[in-house]
Amino acid sequence: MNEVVATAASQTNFSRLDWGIVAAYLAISLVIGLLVKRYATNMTAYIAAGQSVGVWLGVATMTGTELGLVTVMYSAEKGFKGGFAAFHIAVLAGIVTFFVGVTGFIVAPLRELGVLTIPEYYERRYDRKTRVLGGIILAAGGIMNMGLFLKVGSMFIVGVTGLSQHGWALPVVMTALLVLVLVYTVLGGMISVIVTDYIQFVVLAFGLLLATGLAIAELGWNNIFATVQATMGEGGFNPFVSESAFGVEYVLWMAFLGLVGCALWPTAVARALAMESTDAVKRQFRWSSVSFVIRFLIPYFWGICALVYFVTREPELATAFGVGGEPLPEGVEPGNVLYAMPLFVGRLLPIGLIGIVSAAMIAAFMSTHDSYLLCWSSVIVQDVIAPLSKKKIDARTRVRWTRILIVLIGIYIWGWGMFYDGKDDVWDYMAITGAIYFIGAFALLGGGLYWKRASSTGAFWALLAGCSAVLGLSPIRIPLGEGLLGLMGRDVSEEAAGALLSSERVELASVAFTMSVFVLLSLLFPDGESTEGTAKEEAAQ
Amino acid sequence: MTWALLWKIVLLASLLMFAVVAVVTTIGGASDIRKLFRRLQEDDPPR
Repeated sequence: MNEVVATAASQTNFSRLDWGIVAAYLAISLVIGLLVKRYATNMTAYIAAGQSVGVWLGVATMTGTELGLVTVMYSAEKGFKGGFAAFHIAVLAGIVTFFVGVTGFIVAPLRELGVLTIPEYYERRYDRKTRVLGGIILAAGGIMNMGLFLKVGSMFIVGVTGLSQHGWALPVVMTALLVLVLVYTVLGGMISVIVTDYIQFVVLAFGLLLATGLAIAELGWNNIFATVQATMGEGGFNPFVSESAFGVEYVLWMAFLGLVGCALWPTAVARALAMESTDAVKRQFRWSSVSFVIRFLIPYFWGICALVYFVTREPELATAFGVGGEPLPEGVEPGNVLYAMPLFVGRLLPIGLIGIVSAAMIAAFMSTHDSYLLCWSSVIVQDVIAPLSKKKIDARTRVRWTRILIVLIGIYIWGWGMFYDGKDDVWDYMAITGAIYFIGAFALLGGGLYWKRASSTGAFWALLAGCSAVLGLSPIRIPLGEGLLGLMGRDVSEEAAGALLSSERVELASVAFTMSVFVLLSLLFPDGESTEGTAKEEAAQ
Repeated sequence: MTWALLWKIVLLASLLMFAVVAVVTTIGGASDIRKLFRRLQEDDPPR
């Protein structure tokens, strides 16, 4: 770690009292998980809470899942680097979630069909091989997507508590948090997840609002905007100008991402499928649109406040993070920007409140992990192992397999977090790895539900075409861009390669490619009479 | 309207709406949890 950042990390308000608050909160969560375990007696109860969740609990659990600690961290990173211009991502996410809540786009017909997972729908609409391939790609993209959750979440803990100055702290916290979340998820299933999501929602919602109020009071409303203007200029506000960290293609990519993030992302869809009716699903999404704005907006604002705090109060720390105008001395690497927000929170919040907010953040960490672990493992069991198995697998065996897979995925994310070293922002890494699944899924779900001529051949190849999204990851994209520059006879550099093949450009191209494959092959190789007709018609029958 | 003014309005409006959603969801969610357990118990009594 950068030396200035490491020294600064020790200056935090986090005290023994705060450690006590965190420990008490975690103990209570664990006890609740154990208490509600007895209700998880079958697969529907274990992975979909018996499909009996009411609207308000649905809003709480949707927010609890989608507002994870990793969300707070990657959003703060975007706010710190992009300023208020990053707000466009939050606004787009809110608008498209409200649109889904009004129209029921994709989620309402899925709930109407009563499926437990998205690949299960693939089999009903297309065929079994599409379900298995869809399950594999969904699980692969999803597991890769959560590969950095553990590391980034642990970075918050070590940053806010002042432990980040010790080299041993990060792997130790990663291991401890992983063990905690594995025990908790394996035991309770979706019912435990939903109940603790609710508790997390209550603590986190009020904690976020209180901490935001304190940040504004400490830094001054007008000062925050004036400092961003002075530091970033117009690019700190307008996402379309060239000096911003975004641009037109990025904004387009974010609009698409907002839509798939709420209507196609399996953990969000799992919440919709657990609701008691399609009407409840729509109301859940309409109300959750506010949470979908806030889950990005507040952390962006915290990232911005961290920037303003360091630039105005601790300029040497701002320089260490590579902002504020002063260049870093030769050979000194800038500090990891992900630490900026935790360091700021550690200085801003008073003793006691910092413990409550940290406990809520750890709860956010747990609720995201348990939902994701449960989601990917249940997809592998329901949509890959069960359809491929020659004999029928009973509910008890399915739950046991799900639990084993939860542990295996947990071990993977520990290793991936320790060793992956990409150059993308965490948010962009997650968008790209998620796209491996959702670009294909967008074609299959949208086409299957709303286009009669969608065929299983088109669906199968569209799933494979969607995997082209992986080309957007920097370890692949940059060498590819350098190769292209060489072929074009232009100067080859990492910066030029990144500009030629930006991640948003690669992902938009992947969307266009996948949709073309889906439409063309569906038209060229239509299904027979027996499989034609939309899923909505099937549900109506 | 400038971008700075737009984001000021967005930030204030979102915080206000979220405060309302937080209160309503806290109250409604507690009631939903009670209903959920009653229904799960009726469907399949815990062992």
